[in-house]
Amino acid sequence: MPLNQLAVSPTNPTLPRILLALTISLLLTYWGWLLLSGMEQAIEDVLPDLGGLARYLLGIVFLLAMGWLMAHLSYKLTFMRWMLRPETAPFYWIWVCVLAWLIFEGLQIRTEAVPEFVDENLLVTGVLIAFVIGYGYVADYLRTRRDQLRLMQQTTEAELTALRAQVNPHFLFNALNTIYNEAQRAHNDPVADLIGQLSGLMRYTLQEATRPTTSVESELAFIEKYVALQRARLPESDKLRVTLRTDSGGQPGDQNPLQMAPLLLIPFVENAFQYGISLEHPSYIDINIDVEGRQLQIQITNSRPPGLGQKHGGGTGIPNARQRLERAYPARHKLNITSTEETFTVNLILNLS
Amino acid sequence: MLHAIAIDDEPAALDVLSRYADKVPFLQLDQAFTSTTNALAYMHQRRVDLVFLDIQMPDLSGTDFARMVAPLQKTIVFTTAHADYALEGFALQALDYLLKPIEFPRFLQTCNRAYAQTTALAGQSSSIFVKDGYDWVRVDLGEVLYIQSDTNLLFIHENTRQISTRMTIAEMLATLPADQFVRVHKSYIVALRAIRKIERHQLTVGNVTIPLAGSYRDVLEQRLLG
Repeated sequence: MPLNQLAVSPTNPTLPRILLALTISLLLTYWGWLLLSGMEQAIEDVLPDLGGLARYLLGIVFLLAMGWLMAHLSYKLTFMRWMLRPETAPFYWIWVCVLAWLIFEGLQIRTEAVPEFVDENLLVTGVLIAFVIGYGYVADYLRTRRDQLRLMQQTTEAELTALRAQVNPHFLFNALNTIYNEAQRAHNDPVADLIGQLSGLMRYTLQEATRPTTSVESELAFIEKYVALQRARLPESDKLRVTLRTDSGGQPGDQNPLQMAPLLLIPFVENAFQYGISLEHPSYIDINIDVEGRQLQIQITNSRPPGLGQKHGGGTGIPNARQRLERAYPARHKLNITSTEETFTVNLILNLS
Repeated sequence: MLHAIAIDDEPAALDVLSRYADKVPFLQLDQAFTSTTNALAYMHQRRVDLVFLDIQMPDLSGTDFARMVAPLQKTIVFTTAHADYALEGFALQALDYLLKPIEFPRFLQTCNRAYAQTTALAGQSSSIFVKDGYDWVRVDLGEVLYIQSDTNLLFIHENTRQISTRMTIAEMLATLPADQFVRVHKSYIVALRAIRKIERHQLTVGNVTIPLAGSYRDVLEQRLLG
């Protein structure tokens, strides 16, 4: 398992970079020294004319830079666009041919199309093109490797998260169960009920909702528990109203209950509790969930008490929910959100199948 | 009367079960065991209809115990704090799978299903118990014509009487057997054998007309045909 390597390498990224820089400068110094000593004689000859040498070296650097730039642009603009899919790959090779032709013609112009230079120009063209092609493949290999590493890292992180979630629930539910038993023993029914609802919520989010689909019945039971817990936090008052009506449209002893993607509805319910309830002003939340045939409809209406109103829309809950709907039920849902001065209404219809 | 035993290594969990059992008039929790060995001996000597069985126990897991006592053909209900074992539990033909903490309405649902099953096996018509006000009323499922829901109340209609009980339609659906009842409308469940006439948008049960919602029509036809 490359887990340890992955965990270690990103923690100390500077050391390999320093090593790389050292190696490159060592190599370049060595080559430079070789070049210089080889040209010692030539330098002595042209020593008074140092400017010529500088121009010569600058020219080489410029040529190398241009070659690199050409290869890099060719990689970014053509290789990335065409070579990644087999059906568009010929376009890339067409481009390489065009490029070769252009380079060759450029060289021909430079050598004034003297026939003796044709073979030399062909050779230079070949070298340049080979460099361009090679650069593309190497850069692509490095990119793929980087992506792979990142993906592996993400997978490992996901595995670790899953592991964490797997270890904890057993302890969590045992603990909640113990508290529940104690509350029962003390004949404290309200506390026992709340603990029961809380464990139901936790169980649903930690276990059932990790599956791609869950039964509509359990999603609705989850919303019922959530609303019951939220209601328990609010004071009893005439000025406050929370109603919830759900119907999963099930049958007696249903063997194949209707399925849906989990946790799609709860963001809208959460939103209503976040922005619809005020302790100073009269406020209300009405939630209606109905299933008819394969169609689920949820309607949430809540008041917009002053003071909470301007916060509206600042959250990420509803945009996220919209995105999840778009992904889970593309073209199979209808979401209508209407907002007035006093009320906020969400109307969602899902076509389950 | 259902005779039940409970097996769990945690005494507190057994406390909860016995307190619940006290509230159910047709259930007698005769013994609670913290070890499977004693329970096994007891099961061979006395009448046991229903076994509440914890899954995670130190000596022998509940699922292994269930496999061991399978020849005795007792109705088994698993109790556990973990949903992970649900599939295994159902593969062992358990009647139900109760997740701890177990809430009373859910417990009652299971007891009613066990009761309906046991009475049916004993050759009697299957029945359940519901609470009408402060009284527990026995409902013979063979007598029921239809059940109507109205906000938080359910009205169970028989030929000669009507019982009202504080229950949701979802709870009732989970209690009733699939082969005898069908839901035909948002607020109506009818007994299949009591249906006398089906029209496009309504059906006749006994001498009462009940609305038939379009979305339930297919299921009704399926269940009537087989």
